[in-house]
Amino acid sequence: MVRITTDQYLQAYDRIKHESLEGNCIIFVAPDVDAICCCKILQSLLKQDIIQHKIVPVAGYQDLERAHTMLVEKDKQLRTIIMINCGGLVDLAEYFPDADDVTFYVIDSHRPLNLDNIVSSSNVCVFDDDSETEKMNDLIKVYEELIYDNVNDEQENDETVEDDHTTDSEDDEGPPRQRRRLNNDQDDRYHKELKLQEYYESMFHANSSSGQMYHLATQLSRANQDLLWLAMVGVTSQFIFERINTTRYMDYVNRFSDEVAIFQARDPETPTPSKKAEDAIQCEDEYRFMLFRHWSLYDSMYHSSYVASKLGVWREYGQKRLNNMFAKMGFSLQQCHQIYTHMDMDLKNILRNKIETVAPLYGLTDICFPSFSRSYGWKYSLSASDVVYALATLLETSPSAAAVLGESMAFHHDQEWDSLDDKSDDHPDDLGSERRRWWMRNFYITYDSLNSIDDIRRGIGLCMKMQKAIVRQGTSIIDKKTTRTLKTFRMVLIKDGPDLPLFQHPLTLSKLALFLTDAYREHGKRNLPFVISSLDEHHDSYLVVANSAAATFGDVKKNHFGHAFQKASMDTKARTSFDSFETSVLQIHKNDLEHFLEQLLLS
Amino acid sequence: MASLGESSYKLAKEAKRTADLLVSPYNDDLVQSISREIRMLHTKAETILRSMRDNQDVAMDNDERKSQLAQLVLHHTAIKHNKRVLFAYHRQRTDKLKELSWDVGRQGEYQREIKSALGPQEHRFLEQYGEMVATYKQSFLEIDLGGNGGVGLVPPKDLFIEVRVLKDIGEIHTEYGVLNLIKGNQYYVRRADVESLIRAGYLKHVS
Repeated sequence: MVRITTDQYLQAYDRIKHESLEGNCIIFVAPDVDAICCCKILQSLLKQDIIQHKIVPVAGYQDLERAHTMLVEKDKQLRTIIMINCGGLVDLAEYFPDADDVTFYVIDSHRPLNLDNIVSSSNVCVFDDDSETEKMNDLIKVYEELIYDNVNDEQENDETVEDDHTTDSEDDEGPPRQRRRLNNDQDDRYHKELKLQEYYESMFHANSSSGQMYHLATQLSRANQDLLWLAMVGVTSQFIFERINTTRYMDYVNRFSDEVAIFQARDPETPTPSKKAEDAIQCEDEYRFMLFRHWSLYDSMYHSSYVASKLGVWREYGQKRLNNMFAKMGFSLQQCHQIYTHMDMDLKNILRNKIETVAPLYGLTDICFPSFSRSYGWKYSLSASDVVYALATLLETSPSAAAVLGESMAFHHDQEWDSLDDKSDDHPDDLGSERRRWWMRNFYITYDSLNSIDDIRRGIGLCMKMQKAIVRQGTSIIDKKTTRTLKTFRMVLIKDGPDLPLFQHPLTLSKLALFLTDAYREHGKRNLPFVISSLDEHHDSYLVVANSAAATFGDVKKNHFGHAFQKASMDTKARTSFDSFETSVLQIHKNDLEHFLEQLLLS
Repeated sequence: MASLGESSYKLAKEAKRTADLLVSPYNDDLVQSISREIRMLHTKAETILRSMRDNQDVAMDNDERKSQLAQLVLHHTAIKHNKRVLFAYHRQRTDKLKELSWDVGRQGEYQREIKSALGPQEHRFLEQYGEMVATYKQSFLEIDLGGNGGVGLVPPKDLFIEVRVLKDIGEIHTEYGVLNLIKGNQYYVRRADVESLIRAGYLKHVS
């Protein structure tokens, strides 16, 4: 049982170190940007202590089960299992039975955390942060009481049966008293269960795992610029994919900018401010345009979901507005179509001021948010959000999608990459997906690219093409009015189109969903959640992703769809597969989709 | 005789140009033409010498004598120059072959290409030298003297390395325990345990 907060991270790490003397250590990593950054930070800490460990990428619960049969059961020397961004939502004892001498450490940004992990099992240690401590303690108490109540009830029931037999004379008094006691207990229990149900109902994200891992690194006094950069990338990824809200993000930013200042002060050889040191991190405000340093200003504004949705650039009217905005800022269109690095220097200098004055006139408030950027010598300068986009694209692009976009995913021309294809397509109801084959390869490409700046640039190139495709698809959806607005949510089915192979990964679909949600928020009547499904022709199944609607940018609303999906799936007995670690993603057989969606509507 | 030393100039240029390549094709034509040139110069020098010897009794002009001497010197230096170029060319090639024998050994990826680029004497040289190296290495089987794609005589920098598993291997027993190597996992383990597997291609070293 433990739910540890920041001050106890150090003890947990010491324990890991101690147990590694005799035992093995396995790290399960989920395939998303935050998890990969966290894993890298953790690895650097472990390597400095020369702790032997093993990394196993897992994409879903099936992988966890397989890993259990192949790795955990057989290894008698296993002492530590660390789970990054996976396993926080489920009871680990279910997936890893008989793992009694193994300690689990769960670092997961998904919430709500499964209380079984915290309360019942004795060898699970969940990393959490301080902000939720009170609420969690309450819930833990409630949960414990419920469990003990159940136990007590059984004992009481036995006793009451005996009482009934022995004390016949007190018959009149006995039953009413017991009944009254039972009533009170039942009320109590009902309230407690209601509370727990509320807790488990919605899914959201909390503190980033790489942020937590960086905390641990500072406690061990091993923080350096590289680790700080990884933590920044992880936190920014959460902000960009709208998983944490602005206040939380600002907390992190403040803390990280303090760290940057510390590192700069610590380094006495830093030359005068006019010369930047290699690999230096700066605090810089970032615009909400995607990748604008690597694209032309016009393209970047056109394709970023913030600007695109606010101005409505899929229509002629919107494009005119965009052009007007440039004109107001005093930028010639020709300049804006140039790649950013080739734009005139004086324009770049005044860009910031102009945007801040002109953009609010078009409804683009909050166009800047504080972020960080890193310079790699004199050649490149990347911002944290650039890196996030690049990594996310590298994770989610299948080789066929890359072919559609005109690029290849075989970065290093190693023949060995093919061997990382996962050929195991076994799944009941034939709901396996194309994704199974290349996700591990992409995981390692992303992992390796954190060391190589060139790979990140390729990722950026890929991301630009991908974003164009997403905007194309989004525009066509809006134009053709294929969205059905139902009572509680909006729905889109993507069945065909040239870009269909691109939308086979939940990440891409969520990006599209975010784009459409923003668009409809600005130009539709109501602010409703979005449910997108895309067809996997090869396997005759649909990949469904649900997005909850936030009231404004930078705000996050909890996602109720996980629960709703499960219920609808059970009610309609649809052939579904809830494999991913995100509860709002599922795969469903083609024929069952309609019923499922109808059922979803009713719930 | 177009100009003295033209072929040797060409050969020297070629040697310089191909200094970085693995092995370039043996330029038999140039070598033969240079050898022919040497022989021709040599016969010319001999005729001059004979004529000088024959005419020793007869008094000769100083000028004539000087011109004959000058011709001799010229021919002699030209021959020496050609010889030097030939030696340099062959030496460069054999050095490369020696390096290959040590580093790559008998089983290289480019064996066929290399063999087709050699002249007949070089073939023999490569074989015999390769045999010598192999017999030498036999006496030190424990030490990896390079060759066969191994690590060689460069000491490793770290005790533990990161490797990625490319093909399912299963369990291997090491001094310190058992490692279960499954495809797709990435390990941070002792270098000594996994070196042979890296060489065999089952694991990939991640830097």
